[in-house]
Amino acid sequence: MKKFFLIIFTIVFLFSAGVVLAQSTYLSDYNFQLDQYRKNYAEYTNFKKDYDDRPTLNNEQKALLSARQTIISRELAWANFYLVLSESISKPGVNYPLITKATTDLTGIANYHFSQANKAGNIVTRVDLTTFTKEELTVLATHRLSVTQAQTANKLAQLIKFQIDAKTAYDSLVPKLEAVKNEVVVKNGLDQVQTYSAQINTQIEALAKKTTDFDLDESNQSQFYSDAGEALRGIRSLQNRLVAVIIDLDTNYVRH
Amino acid sequence: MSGTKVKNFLLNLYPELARLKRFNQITTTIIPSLTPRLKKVMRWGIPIVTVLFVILLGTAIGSWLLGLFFPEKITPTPIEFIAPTTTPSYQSPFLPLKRSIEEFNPALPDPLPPVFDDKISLEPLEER
Repeated sequence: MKKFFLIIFTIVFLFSAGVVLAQSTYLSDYNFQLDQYRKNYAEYTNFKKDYDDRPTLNNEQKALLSARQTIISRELAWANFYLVLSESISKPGVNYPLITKATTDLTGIANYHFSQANKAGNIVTRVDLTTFTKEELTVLATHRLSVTQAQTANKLAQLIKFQIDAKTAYDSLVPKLEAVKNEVVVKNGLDQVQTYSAQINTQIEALAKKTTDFDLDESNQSQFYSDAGEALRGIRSLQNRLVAVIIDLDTNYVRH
Repeated sequence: MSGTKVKNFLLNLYPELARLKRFNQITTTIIPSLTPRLKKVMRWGIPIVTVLFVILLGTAIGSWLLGLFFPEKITPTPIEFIAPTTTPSYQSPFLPLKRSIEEFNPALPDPLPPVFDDKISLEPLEER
């Protein structure tokens, strides 16, 4: 019997530890690589200064190796940052076109940075370093749009999850209000829930469309962030009112 | 019963009337002969009844006049009200959802991307 409990306890412990580790891997990797980058970058700055002051072959080699290490930790930090963001978007478990696109884009970007970290290992000359950085700058510019969209998708995923939870709450509440559903106050409350839900859905769709259609070449990124933030605030405000009505109906008109 | 008797009766009842000239001229026809007991009752009864009558009449007139100046109060029909079935200790299971919504941060950009030097090079990079 003791053995049985010991086995059960071990399985539960391993499972819990596995879940916790799996959830925090990207974040801990990101923090580790960020730390590495800061150390490496401080070294690189010193070696580069030495090289700029005295451009000997020895100083060049030291600066080159340091630059390579800095780039590798930078690329790994970037990759893990995008995986953390992707994980955050996927966490609410929402199936929505913008969200699916964002996670796909982020996985692609993260894979690019992982491959760049490997590629950086091949940097051996000054020219290699310059070529690598030039290519990197070109590609990073193309990531900006996807990252902006992913940041908005991250927020929308949370709001859509709230909306799904509110719908579940409403569905569980309606049968309990059957006895008083024709009373004026209850009827008004249920009507308000319907109205708010419709408004929220419309605003979510509008923001998702605006995010999908966003074009960095034609639009100002700061303005987009400002407008999207305003739209998110509006949706949150409506959801707040929606859930307040649901709670009021549940607290005051359902017999507990 | 002669007028003199009535006059005498009234003077007997209200001696103050003797001071009025008109009263001395009054000569009425019939005054019932009253017993001393009845006279006493009438002497005090008539003024008391008169005073009460004046008070009641005044109150009635006052009430009527008040109705002219102040409109009649209209009491609305009671509004339908459902007594809430609140249980004081009840906590809705949807309160955590409300808290999550309140704690939601709508600010963008979030999360902020880390700041890295993307121009690591030992050679000057051409301005793009």
